[in-house]
Amino acid sequence: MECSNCQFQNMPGVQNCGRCGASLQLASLAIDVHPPRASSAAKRWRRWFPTVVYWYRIRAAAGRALPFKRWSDLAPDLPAPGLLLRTVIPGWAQRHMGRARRGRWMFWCYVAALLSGLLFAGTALGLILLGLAVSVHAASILDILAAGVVTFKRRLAYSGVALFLLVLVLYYPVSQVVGCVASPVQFNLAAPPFEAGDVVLVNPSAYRWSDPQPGDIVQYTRPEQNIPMIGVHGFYRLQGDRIDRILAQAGDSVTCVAGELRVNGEPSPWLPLNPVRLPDSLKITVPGNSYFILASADVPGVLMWRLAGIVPRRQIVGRVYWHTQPLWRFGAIR
Amino acid sequence: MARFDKLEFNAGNRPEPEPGQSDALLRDSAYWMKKADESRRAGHYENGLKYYSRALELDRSLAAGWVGQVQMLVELQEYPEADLWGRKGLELFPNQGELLAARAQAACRMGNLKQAHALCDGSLQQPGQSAYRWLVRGEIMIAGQQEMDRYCFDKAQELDADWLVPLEAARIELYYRRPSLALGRIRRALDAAPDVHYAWYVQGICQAELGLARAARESFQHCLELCPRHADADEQLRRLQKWNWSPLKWFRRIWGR
Repeated sequence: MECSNCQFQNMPGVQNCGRCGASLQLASLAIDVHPPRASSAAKRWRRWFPTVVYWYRIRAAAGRALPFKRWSDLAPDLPAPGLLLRTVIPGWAQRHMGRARRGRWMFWCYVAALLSGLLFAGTALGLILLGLAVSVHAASILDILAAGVVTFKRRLAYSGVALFLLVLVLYYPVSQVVGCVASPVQFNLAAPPFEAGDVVLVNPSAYRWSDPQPGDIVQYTRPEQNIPMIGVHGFYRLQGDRIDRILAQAGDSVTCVAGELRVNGEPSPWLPLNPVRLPDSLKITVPGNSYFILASADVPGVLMWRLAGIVPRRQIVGRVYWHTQPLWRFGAIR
Repeated sequence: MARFDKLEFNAGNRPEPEPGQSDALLRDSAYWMKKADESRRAGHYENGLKYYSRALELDRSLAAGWVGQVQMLVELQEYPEADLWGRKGLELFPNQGELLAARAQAACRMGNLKQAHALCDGSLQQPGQSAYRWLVRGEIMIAGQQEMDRYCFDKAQELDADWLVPLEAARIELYYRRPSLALGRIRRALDAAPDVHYAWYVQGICQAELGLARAARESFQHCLELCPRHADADEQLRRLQKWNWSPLKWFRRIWGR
């Protein structure tokens, strides 16, 4: 078989030329032979703002300014900025380069890993899937940056740098932004109505510009506090994060007689998450800048609720709004 | 009836296609490559690109087709795309000298001189010689403001006596705003092929750049005589009708290279 590139006579059956490495099966390969084209708008833009030229000028200047020549030699041969920008979406740059099939594979693998990772966010499996999505993204970038790199050590170094930069520039800022509105919290122990392993989404910025309202289910943090128990000689140590419903706000008078909760003399439209643990008798007025929350989910109902139920505003972390795990209980929390 | 033309009653008695008959079977990759070359020589780079793609659709192993596509993209000023396509071509034909040179040209036009130098060195190290590699070398010399470009262009012309070589050298000189040097090159092309309308058009452009309005008008008129439907030459002529003297143009004419 003669190589069409270097005219070397190869053994029959081989796939690549033994001398130059060119594919010997080009005729049967499904390759797109139509090059990518610049739109007229892009051409106009390039005429007025030759960003590509500036990019290479800046790179050349930076290369000259580096203290050691070796650093600039180690830097990868970066593609044009247009292609580099396309690496933001996995597979887009490959598609632009005419490797549509590879691009499609990368894109859909990434989407599958990312969506399932988000679905299982807050669990170990979710972490693995999200890591997989980031890896696919890094691989798609490396496919562009280190296409001609054959040295294993250099390829490994590029992989590390690409992954680090990807996390630093893209995923860390995005996770910070997303974390402001949806932060997954996993239950380590059963706290009815939640089971151990359940995951809920908390919106930490829900009360940044507004105050919590009775009826909201919130996550709040209790500092270490020993609460005396009723009828039992001892204390209950209340500490850490809790999730339950706000039953009354500052200034409200709360009474609980024979399992019936009343706020300002009216029957309360809201009940705690675990209504079985309502105290038998309670009479309390909620102090200023505080809320009344019965930590009914995981705290025994024999506490002095006068101490345990009052939660200052500053201890409320965010609003709990979505149940993500297990999947059969996926939905809004009401 | 045309719908029954393709029925195979007896393969042995199939009539030979008559000469001049436009049969799709006759349009093989060589036909499209020839068409692409003709378009390129006429300055129709968009058509050239289209024909190179058609040739590659029929035969993907045509390295010259891939090179032609990259060259056309460069001529159409789509440099990032040319660089990208050059990369792809080099994946299929590793170390192909012409492809390396074409990518070097794209890199040079984008201002990436370091890479352009490396690619051009690589292309010249490959076996065989071609005028295009030396043209690209010359272009890189101009871009790097080194005074060795004319030797490279002369070397290119030495390797290939085709009139396309001085014409492309002239276009490179024009790109770097050296119309007087471009004029010298295009005159060589016209000496070799005085009946090529595109060469007259490029000469007209050089002359117009230098402020030689009358000479430019004559060149465009000559171009229109050879190709009456040359829209660009017609437009240039119309522009020259509105030509008037200005000190800036005069200064450019005196100091223009």
